[in-house]
Amino acid sequence: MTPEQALDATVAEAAPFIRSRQLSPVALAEASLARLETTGRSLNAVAALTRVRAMEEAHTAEQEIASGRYRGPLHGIPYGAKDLLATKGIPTGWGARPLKSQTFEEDATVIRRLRQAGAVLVAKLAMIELAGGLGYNTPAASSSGATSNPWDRSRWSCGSSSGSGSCTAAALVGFAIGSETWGSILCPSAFDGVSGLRPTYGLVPRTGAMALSWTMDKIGPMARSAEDCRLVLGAIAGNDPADPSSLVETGGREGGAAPPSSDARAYRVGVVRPAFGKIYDREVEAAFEEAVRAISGLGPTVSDAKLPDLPFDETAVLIITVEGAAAFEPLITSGRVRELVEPGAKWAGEAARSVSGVDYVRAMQARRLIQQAFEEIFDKYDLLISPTMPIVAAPLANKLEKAFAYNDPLGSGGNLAGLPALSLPCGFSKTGLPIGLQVVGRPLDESRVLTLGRLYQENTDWHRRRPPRPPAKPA
Amino acid sequence: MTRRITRRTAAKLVLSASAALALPIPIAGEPAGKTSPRAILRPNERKLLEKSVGQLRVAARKIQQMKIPMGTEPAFVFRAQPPKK
Repeated sequence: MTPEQALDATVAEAAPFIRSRQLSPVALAEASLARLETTGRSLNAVAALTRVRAMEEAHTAEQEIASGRYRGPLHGIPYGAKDLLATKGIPTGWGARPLKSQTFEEDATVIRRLRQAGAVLVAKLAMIELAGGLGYNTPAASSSGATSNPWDRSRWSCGSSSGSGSCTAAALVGFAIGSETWGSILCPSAFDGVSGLRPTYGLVPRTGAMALSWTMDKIGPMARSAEDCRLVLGAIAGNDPADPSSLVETGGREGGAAPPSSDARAYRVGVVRPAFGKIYDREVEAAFEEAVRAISGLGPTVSDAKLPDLPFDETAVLIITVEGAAAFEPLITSGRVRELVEPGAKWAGEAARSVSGVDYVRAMQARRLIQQAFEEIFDKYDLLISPTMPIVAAPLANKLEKAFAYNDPLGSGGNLAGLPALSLPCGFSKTGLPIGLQVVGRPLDESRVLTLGRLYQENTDWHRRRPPRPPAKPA
Repeated sequence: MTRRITRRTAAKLVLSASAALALPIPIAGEPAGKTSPRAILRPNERKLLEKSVGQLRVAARKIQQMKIPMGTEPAFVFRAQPPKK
């Protein structure tokens, strides 16, 4: 396997070649950096290349493997991290112009754990400024500009983990790390045609990560298969005493450990069809219904599931707005918020202050009821499936308040209840844009979520498709 | 006859004028957050701020209309519950 072939493959496919020394981590890192330098830059998907660190980690990996010290399937694999994860000595700008040269003294826990697993950090990846924490209405709301979708450069990669989705889809990195408060892993995964996992709240530590909403932020892998997500989760999940939200008791479920049954016939799958209304793209609907048939063919019990009538979106909006304004208070009060691309950020703090303390507490009470409602749903089902997004990738020029004008009860509710969710490619539009399917599970039931994803991908090839590579520029 | 004014008096005069509202925030040397951000917004921006506030009020009203049993513990200390099975 050549480095170029390895970049196009999945981590699980490339790893044995690294282990057997048929594939050099140094050559692989160089190939990844070359693609990031050209394709990555042209997609506006890169915040910064980490060349020096990458080559040092790649050489270390090569030496360790040569001396028989193989660390596991991520050893020697190049990856990119959303630019809200602290990396020692390398700027971590949170996608925001006023923070572009911000640096930290320590690596985020996730970065440190990936280093321990032997993965090679090749780039900090572009993101929406402050992960959208003060609102945004255009794809260009980032210090890097709008990140293009590798399937069609006039379309958006989605956000806020824009670069993580775009670079993984374009096979510039082996995998990427993203983060989600509401939709920031799942939407880019769907728009860009990658497999992305939003883990259970608290399963992956956030130490060293930008805080937007302390009660809702999650960090997770974006990769080219569900199996790769499982491998990355295995390296980054688990308690970190430095993160107060980090779960202590996880029942050994880190990394999607062996599920109760990998036989899909034992699963009860509920199909959620939210009322997306007129915005629901018929091609997305057709692809989703085909995915439902494919999953039924794997043997589980599949039946319709209905979410209760609760204010899912409103509750998420209030909590994220208030926590975001508190998180970025120093930027707001210093006036540096005016340096952000998004004009609305200027008054976001003022708008958030209109929410009373009582309203915030009521939202947190509503959230408890939403959590209980999902517990009842999961008495009947092991997993829920639904379209990840009702639309394909939006044009870069679109205003997002129009492009995303629909209710997202499973997205907002799933995030409010801290549920794990996996987005998988499940088809393409006639214009060649990816369509995503989401699989949602009980808290800490990543095993079933990832197992269904793996079984689905063993029987379909949507995740194997790669976007057209732009012709190489003459030297 | 001209009257000399001190720098402090001049500053008072300038800052008491309506022009002070047009100053960018933060005013150099002033503690952050002293001037209302609303005051420096353009008219169209103020309209958008009002729109944002209106949307948040609608969201809050929808939650206010929910029947939340008294004593419901807010999810401040959020814990994901492991599967029962």
